[in-house]
Amino acid sequence: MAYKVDHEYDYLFKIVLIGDSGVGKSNILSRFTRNEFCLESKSTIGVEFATRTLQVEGKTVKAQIWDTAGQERYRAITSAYYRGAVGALLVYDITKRQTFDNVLRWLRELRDHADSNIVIMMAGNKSDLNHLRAVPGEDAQLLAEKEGLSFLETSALEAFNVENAFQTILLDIYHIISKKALAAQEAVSTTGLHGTTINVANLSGDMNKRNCCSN
Amino acid sequence: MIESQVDQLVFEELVHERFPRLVNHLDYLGVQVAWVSGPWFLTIFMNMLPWESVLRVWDVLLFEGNRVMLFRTALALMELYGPALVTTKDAGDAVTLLQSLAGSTFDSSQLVLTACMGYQNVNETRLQELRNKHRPAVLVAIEERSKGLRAWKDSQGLASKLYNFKQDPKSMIIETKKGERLVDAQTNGDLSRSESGSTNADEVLVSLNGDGELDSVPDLQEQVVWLKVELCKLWRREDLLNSGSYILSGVRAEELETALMEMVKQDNRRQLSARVEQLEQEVAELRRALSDKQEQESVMLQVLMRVEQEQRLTEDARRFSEQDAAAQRYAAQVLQEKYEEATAALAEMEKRVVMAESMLEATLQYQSGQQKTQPSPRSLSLPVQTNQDQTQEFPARKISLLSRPFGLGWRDRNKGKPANNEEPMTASLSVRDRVPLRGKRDEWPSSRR
Repeated sequence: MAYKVDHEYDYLFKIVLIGDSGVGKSNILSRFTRNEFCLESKSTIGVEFATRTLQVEGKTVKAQIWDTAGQERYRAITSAYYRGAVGALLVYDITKRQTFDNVLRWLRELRDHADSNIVIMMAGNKSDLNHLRAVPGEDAQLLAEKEGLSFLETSALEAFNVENAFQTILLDIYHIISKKALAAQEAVSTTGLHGTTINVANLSGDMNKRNCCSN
Repeated sequence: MIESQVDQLVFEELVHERFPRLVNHLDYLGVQVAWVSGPWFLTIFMNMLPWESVLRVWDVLLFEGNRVMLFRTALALMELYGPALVTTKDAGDAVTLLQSLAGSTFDSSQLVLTACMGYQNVNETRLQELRNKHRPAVLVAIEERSKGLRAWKDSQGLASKLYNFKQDPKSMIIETKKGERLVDAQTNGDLSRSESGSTNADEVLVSLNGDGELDSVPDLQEQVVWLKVELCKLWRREDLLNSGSYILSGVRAEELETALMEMVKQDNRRQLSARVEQLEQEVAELRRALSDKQEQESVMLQVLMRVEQEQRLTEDARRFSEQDAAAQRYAAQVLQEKYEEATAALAEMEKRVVMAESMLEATLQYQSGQQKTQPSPRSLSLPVQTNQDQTQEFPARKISLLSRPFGLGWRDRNKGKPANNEEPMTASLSVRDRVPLRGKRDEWPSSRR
């Protein structure tokens, strides 16, 4: 409920950025939240946060994006990191085949630790380096269809599709949430209580404690 | 990275101990202190604190030569910014605030002073104890993680991966159906394959080394066998199709095989070292368990000794009390005896009094008889004289015991006045217990003994 106290936003969505080390997660984050890009960025240790508030279908949504270290040796630090996440942006590097092969591994990690209804978007980053491409777009498309993910190729450097990727995730989450809110509203209206505001509060509060998508 | 994770758990425990309210709040928000403190420890506060503060911390750290200062500084930061953290309302705010506040710790003196003076009981021995306490949990977690990873790798299948790499990466499509692959391989130009063969094998090697850290493929031998079979098949078909390219592909196959053998060797070595490491860990664990057991034993021994001592003490106390009781019983007995003696003496005395009375009466009667018969003045004066002598002698000896009236009564009576006769009698009776009577005095002590 604490999240509803300041009426700056209607929803708060926690989104996690995952993928191998060096695929550009931190730069995607800085591009989306601050519109910055750093060529000499260092590898992330621990956890970083950034938030951005935007409009989704007329509602103010605050996206709280968590960026973590992709390196295997920091993994144990980030195991509690998926708690309460409603969306995930799974990033690979189109110039490094290995990062694409590991997408399955990251999916497995999401399945192990995150909510089963988490919205996942796969992003092939560094699309500006098309001449060094090692992962054909069709391959990724195939995998995305097989695993039921959304897919986009992005470039944090050129600010290409980054906004779009987050918009898509947030919209998907919003649809799931509002569907649930509708169902909940129906349930409440049958019991004779008026409920729109209560529902919203419940949902956004719910999200902080546990994953709202689970119920 | 194991020790770094252990250190984080130790730090979390210390924070929990020092700032329970803050930890409660962070738990409520779903924030792990390690998310922020992990980078602090790993970078030794580089880029986390202002430059001057970093240097001050490093100064102490290098002087002391251990990691204690890391913990102290981190605790000091939690102390400085804890109050601000408690006011945050969500996880992101809390982490961002802590990160930004740490970055604005410009008062390096305050930081170092708080760290060094405020947390003196955080020392190497304490940290070592806590590390030993938390290490097993981290090892278990890592073990589970690597197991999961291995299972995943197995499911991927090394052979299919090798096959993927054998082909030109540009024309590769993810597929795992090996039959199709074979056909596909066949249709490719033999020459181009043989050319790229060795380089691809290297690539395979590199890629395997890249993620080989946790990768110990258990059924590698099987896959090698399978690969060999596939290679043989390939040779045969190639032989049929194009006998000219047979030699080339044979060479390529040999190259692949040698690469594979190398890989197997490397993997075996890796497996062996991993096994050795595991064994070492087990040994360390066992040793720890042994020392724990020994400690427990010594503690038990101490407890037993203490119990024994207590038993001995109680035994002593019991013996003492028994002795006391015996002494008391003895005293009681003695008292009882004395009492009996006293009563006996009393009874005897009473008897004697009766006797004395009768004797007195007898003398009185005798005296009155003599007076009546008018004895010679000589015979009369003599007894009176002796009587008077005795009475005089008597009070001198036992003056404190004799009451005045008695003595007077006794004298009055001895004067032989008949009218006063009754009075002295009663007086003498009232004090009879105390009166040692004439003639009997010598007998008393002997009877008492």
